[in-house]
Order: sequence, then structure tokens, then C-alpha cells
Amino acid sequence: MIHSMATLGTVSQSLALGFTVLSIILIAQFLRSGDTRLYVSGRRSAVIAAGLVILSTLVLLRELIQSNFNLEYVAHYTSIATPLLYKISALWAGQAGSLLFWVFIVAGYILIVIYQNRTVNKVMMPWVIMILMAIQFFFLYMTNFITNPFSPVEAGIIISDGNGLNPLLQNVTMAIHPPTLYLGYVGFAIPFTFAMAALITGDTSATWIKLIRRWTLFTWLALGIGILLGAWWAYQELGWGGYWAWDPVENASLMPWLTATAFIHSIIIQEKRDMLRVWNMILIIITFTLSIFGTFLTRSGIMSSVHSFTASSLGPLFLGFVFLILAGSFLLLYKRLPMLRTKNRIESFVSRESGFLFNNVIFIVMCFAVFWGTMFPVLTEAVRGTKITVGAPFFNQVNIPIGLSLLFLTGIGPVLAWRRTSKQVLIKQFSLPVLVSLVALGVFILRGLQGYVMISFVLAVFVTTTIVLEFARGIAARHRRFNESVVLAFWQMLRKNRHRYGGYIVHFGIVLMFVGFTGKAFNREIETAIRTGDKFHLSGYEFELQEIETEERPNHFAWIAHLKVVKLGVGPVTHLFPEKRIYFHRNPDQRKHQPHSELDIHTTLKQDIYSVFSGYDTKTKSASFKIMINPLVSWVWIGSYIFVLGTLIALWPNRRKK
Amino acid sequence: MNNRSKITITVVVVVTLFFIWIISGTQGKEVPFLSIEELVTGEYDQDRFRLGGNVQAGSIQIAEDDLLKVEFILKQGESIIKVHYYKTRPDLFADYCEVIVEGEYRNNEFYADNLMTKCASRYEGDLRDKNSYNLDEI
Amino acid sequence: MELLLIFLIFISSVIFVAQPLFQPAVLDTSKTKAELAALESEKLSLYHQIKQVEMERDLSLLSEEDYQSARQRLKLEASQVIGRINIMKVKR
Repeated sequence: MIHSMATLGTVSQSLALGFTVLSIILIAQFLRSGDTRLYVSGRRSAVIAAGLVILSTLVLLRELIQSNFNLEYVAHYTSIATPLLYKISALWAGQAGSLLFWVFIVAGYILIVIYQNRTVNKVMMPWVIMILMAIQFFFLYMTNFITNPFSPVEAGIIISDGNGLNPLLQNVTMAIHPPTLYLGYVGFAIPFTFAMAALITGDTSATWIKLIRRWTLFTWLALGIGILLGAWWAYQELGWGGYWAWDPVENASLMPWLTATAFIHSIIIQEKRDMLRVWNMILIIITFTLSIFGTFLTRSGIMSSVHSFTASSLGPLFLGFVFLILAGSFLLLYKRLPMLRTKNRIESFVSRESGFLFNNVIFIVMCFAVFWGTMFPVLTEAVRGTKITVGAPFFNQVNIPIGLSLLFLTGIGPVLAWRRTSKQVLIKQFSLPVLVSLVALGVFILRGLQGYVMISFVLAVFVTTTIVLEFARGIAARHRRFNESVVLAFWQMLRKNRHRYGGYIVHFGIVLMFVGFTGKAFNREIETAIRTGDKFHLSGYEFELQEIETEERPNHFAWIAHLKVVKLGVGPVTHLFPEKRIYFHRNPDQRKHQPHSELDIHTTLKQDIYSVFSGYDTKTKSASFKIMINPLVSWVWIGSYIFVLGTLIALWPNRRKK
Repeated sequence: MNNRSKITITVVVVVTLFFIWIISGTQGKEVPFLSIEELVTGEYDQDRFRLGGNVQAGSIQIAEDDLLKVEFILKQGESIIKVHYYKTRPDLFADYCEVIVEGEYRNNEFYADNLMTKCASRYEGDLRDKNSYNLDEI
Repeated sequence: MELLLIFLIFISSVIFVAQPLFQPAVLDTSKTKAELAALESEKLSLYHQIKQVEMERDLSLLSEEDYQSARQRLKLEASQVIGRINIMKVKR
């Protein structure tokens, strides 16, 4: 019998709450009295609180790995047969555990912030720690009193094996998707906290922005990767052939990402030209609120969604917290408004500043569109009494022109000059991209493209040309000034201007993603039920079901279809082997059987051939398939890699000077 | 007019246009999410709806000649309705399963073209449910 | 066993947190050092910004007069920071 450490977990969780409160009190006393001993003590208390949170998370992790089914949470989400990786990922698979995991990340971030600022930012730090502790308090309160992951199974029951993790979630991507998303969600607490500390201490210059820029970029990247992993998982596992369904929970993660994207653009203006101070404050407040709201949407069950957990009592608490943050921070902002006035104004329509301004406006518009569609059922129920939903068609229709305007700005914004752009410069910068785009437009029209698809492709060409030109100009400038070779000039240019060129690379990644998104317009699909030897056709391809093989594997039984794919008039392309699996097939109770379709995809740069073995009737030997031809999907993933690469370049630390 | 007010006006115009675009975007895409009882007893202008409920045990009937064709009874509280669906079904679709269907209501039956499952029973089950756990009562 | 561990964690945490309160209030000696480090990093950041405006002029993203005024302003700031660094170094 393995000794349970659950008590240690429970106690350290409660102690963490105690030290969190103690830390707030001590620092508040320091701020009143100015006695630095109180601050040192309060900071230590914060460190202890964070350490205890980490300890209790580790204890829960240990109980999950050791399969201590005396804990309700462990019994719910793992079984003895669950592989180790998924015992670990069970930590964030359920509500109670994922909230503890949330605080765990907060605690980790707090320790990093305290360490980074141990000798600097003496004025802001007490406030920073205090606000972070308040945020930690909220989540600790919930894990302690509302959904405690350490709560034991009801008395009178012994569970000899738990029910295990849903096989759909038994996938490496799915194991790392939630934690990356959380790194992002939680991370926005840091820039938010520094913004509030800057407001409180009255330091309204760009200092706080310098402090949090890399944090924000890192957080933004983590959230972006989390979103993309989710999309990739949906595409590879769920079998409906798409990567984005505008599901409320997906939208909840997209919204803060959109406002954060606006934020990382507009802080550049504040740094360079000391403008938009108030706007930046508003953006970070909204971003943080949306990330809490996202957690709320996932946890409250007010939205029906594939992701949502069963309805719980967390809803009102979360909503209250969201309102508290909004009311508190906007009140503070209002009080500090006079200090935030700056004398700089946008001077010209055709300037970098106005490019950024419109970029910001459109990002917010897009966030509003997503918000409107997501909340529409809630709003209509409140106003008209009937819940009215709007699905993917609404989001697609509304967001396409908004997205295309953003793509357009991606092309022009970065090459506009600060303050004003003269006519000569404008002509010099844009004559070639416009020319290339016009040629591309002609080619696309000849090939029969029209509407949004054509616009999207032309814009992709336009933006790519401007980016390539920017690189070429930069290299040429270095070549002229320092007489460096092209390769060296390229390397030095990247190294010395990582933000600018990293940004361009991110933009290029986004362009490729747009190309991939546009491919959706050409999707073709067929659903059919056939027998071995039958053939069917889809947009120039012939599919033949050659045989259905059976195989028994350790934890499931599988029917494996052999589909031969032939391009008509060309020849064989590939074989696809989609599977229909039954998990828990040895269990005599039919209800415990869990069917699962393991799909197979033939990927090329041009298109994916996507096959799902959706059903098999052993009596009639009839098998049903769903086959899709999805053009250009791989460009979404290629674009994602480039997006990550570009952000990493921008994030890479400056080499320390000795 | 100076540059500043030109920019302000443009921003306002852009935002207003997009705002109208978004708000009007829901037209024609609205699908009421009703309870079965509301649907059966009420009078509605449109014919597309969304319903939620559980699959009545033993009611799933798959057509002999076409695996994709299915009929089942959707149950919500005491109300029931017959649902037709002719497409690939999600893996989690089974008896008792909680589903959301979207489609048309004709002649007192529901013709769904979209079926989403939220089969929570097994993975968010009640600890006393013998089917989900290996239990030993003390 | 477990209870003992919990007790030890609790006691050591309390001691760790309370210890500063029983120290005599002393002046923070690390302060000047920290300030110096902050000024040094500000200096580097200003150098970097000067390089940036040069770059932007080379890419014709900044007009000649804007470039000159931005450069003047940054140079002035940098010289002020260097001045403050020197004063602090002399004091030590």
C-alpha cells in the first residue's frame, strides 16, 4: 500500500492561502509605514505562498501517478491502465486540477518576477507583488473551498480502478495544448499587474512597457501556440475535417490573443513616440479580463461546447472577479487620466503611427465580432427570452473582410515612415509591390478566381513582396554602409534589429496562414457507405476500398480500411489506412465500449486528402467513409512554424555586455 | 480640416461601418435554441432550430441499406421527438448521450444536418455509478 | 511522518517570513548598486535606439530632419545618463 500524501497537499494549499493573505497585509503595512523590514517580510511571504502552491501541485501530480483512488479527482480522470503521460496530463484534464494548475503557473510567474526584480524597480514592485497576490488569492480561494482537487471519495466507497482519460484526449498534442494555453492566459497577469502598478505609483512613462515587453511577447506566443495546437489536434483527431469551428471555448482563447496582438503593436508607438498611453492601458486591461473571462467560459458551462465541463458553482464567482477587475482598473485609469496626457499627436494620415492606429482599431473590431457571435445566445436570451445561436457561417462571413483588411495593413503599415511619409518615399516603397500584385491579379483572374479568394491571394502576394523588399533594402543599406557581404549583412541585420525583422517573419507566417485559410473555399467532401471492392469518386480522384483488416492491440480493437487513391487520368496517388477502433473492447458491458475513428491524411503542399472510417456494420459488411479534399491546409501549419520562429527571433535576449 | 480630425473621423467611420456589418451579420444566420416542448407547442416563422437533449436508450436505428442513415428519439425531461440524421456520426454518439442537433422541423419530426455530442456520462460520471468505476461497497 | 513534515514546513516558513521583522532597520546598501545597474542598462538602451534611428533613416522610414532631431535628443539623454553614472562612480 503506497502511503498517501494527500494531507500534505491539502494543508500546503491552505497554508498557501494563509501566506498569500499575510503577504498582502505585510506589504500594505509597508506602504503605509515605509518600514522596509515589512516589505522584505511580505515578499518572503509571497515566495513561501508561491512555493506552497507548487508543492501542493506536485503532491497532486504524485497522487495521480501513484493512482491514489481515494481522491475523487484521481479516480475521475485516471485508471491503472492509463499511460504515465496521460496520468500527468490528468492534472489539467478536470476542473479542480486545472484550477490548481492555473495557480501553479501564477506561482511560477510570481517567483520569476520577484527574482528578476530583486534589486530593481523598488517603487513598483511592492504593488506588483500585492496585486499578483490578490489574483493568486482568488484562485486559491476556489481550489480551497469550491473545487478542491484533494477532496476524498465519499465515505463507504472503495474504488479499485478509476475510469480513465477519454481516448480522444489521449494524444500528445492534447496533453500539451491546455498547459501552453494556460501559460498564455495566466501570463497576461504580469503585464496587467505592472500596468496597474505604474498607474498607482504615478510612473506613467514607458518604463512599465520596457519591463513587460518580453513577458507580453512570450505570453502572446504561448497563447498563439496553444490555439494552433488545439486547431491542429481538432484537424488530426476529431474527424470533421476542419481546424477551427468557432466553438465558444476556441473563441474565448482567440479574443485575448487578438487584443494582445493589438497591444504588442501599439506599445511600439508608446516606446517610440510616447503616444497612446491611455489606449495601451485599456488594451492590457481588456486582454487580462478576457483571459480570465476565457477561463470562466471554459469552466462555467454557460456555453454548450465540446470543451465545457459540467455546470458548476464557479460561474458567479468568476463573473464577480471579472467585474471587480474591470471596475477597479478602469476607476484607477480614470483617476490617473490627467497624468497620462501626452503632447505628441498623429501628424499625418500616411504615417507609421496611423498604420498602427488602424491596425489596433481593426483588431478590436475583430475581437468584438468574435465576442458578439459568442455571446449572442446569452444576449438574445436576456433580451428576447429565447436563446438564439449563430454558428460558423456568421463568424466566417463577418470576419473575412475584417481579416483581409488586417492583411492589407500588414503590407503597408511597416513600410510607412514615422510622423509622415513623403510622396517620393511612398512611390519608392510601393511601386514594385503594387506592380507585382497587379500582375498576380491578372494571373488569378485568368485562372478564374474571384471574390474574397482572389482578394486574399492578391493581398498575400502584395504583403510578401513588401516583406521581401524590406529585407532586400535592409541588406542593401548594410552593404553600402559597412561593405558587408549579403549573407553577413542579412545575419547582422537580423541580429541587430530582432524586433523589426522577427516581426516581418511573423507577418510572413500570417500571410501563409491566410493562404491556407483561403483554401477552405475549395473544400470538397463526400460521405458514402460501401462494401469491399466498391469504388467512388471525388473531384477527379477515385477511391477503392480494397479490404478491411482487423487487428487487436493492447487497449483497443481496430478495423483498418485499405483505400486505394487514384487520380483519374494520371495514376495511383497513395493508399490511405483510416481505422475504426473500439476501446475497452474486452469489457462485457457494451456501454463501456468506446468507438473512435483514427483518420488518415495524405498531405501535400497543394492539398490534403482526408479520410475518416466513420462506421462499420459487421453483419452487412457495409463500411461508411467520409472523404475530404482540403486544398492548401498544410500552409496553415507551415505558416504556424514561421510565426513561432519569427516570435522567437524577436524574443531572443540581447547578449549581455561585459 | 486638420490631419488630426481627419484621422478621427476616418476611425469613427471605419468603426461604425464594421459595427453595422457585424451586427447585421447575424441576420439569416440566427438559429433559435429551443427546448423540445417549446418547439412542439410553439409557432415559429423560420424552420431551422437547435435542440438539446439525451438519446433515448435503445432508440437508435441505423438503416439496413445505408450505414449513414440514422433515426433516434431525443429526450429532454418528459418531452421526446424523433430525429432523422443522414451524415457521419461522431464517435461518442450512443444511448443516453447528451447531444445537440441542428436542422429543420417538419411534420412533427426533426431533420438534423448537424449533430454534436457532449457525452459526459463516462468521463464526468457520478462516483456511485457502477458502470463507470470498479466499486466495492464497504 | 506526513504530519511531522507538514509541521516542519510550517515552522520553517514562519521563521523565514518573520526573521526580517526582528532585524534592526538598516539602510539598504544594495540600492546604489542597483541604481547603477539600471543606469547602465538605460545607457545601452539609448545607444541601441540611436542605432535604430540610423537604420530607419537608411531605409528612408525617417526623414533627414526627424533623424537629426531624434539623434540630438537621444545623444543628449545619453550624455545625461553617462554624467549621472560618473557622479555615482565618483561617490563610491
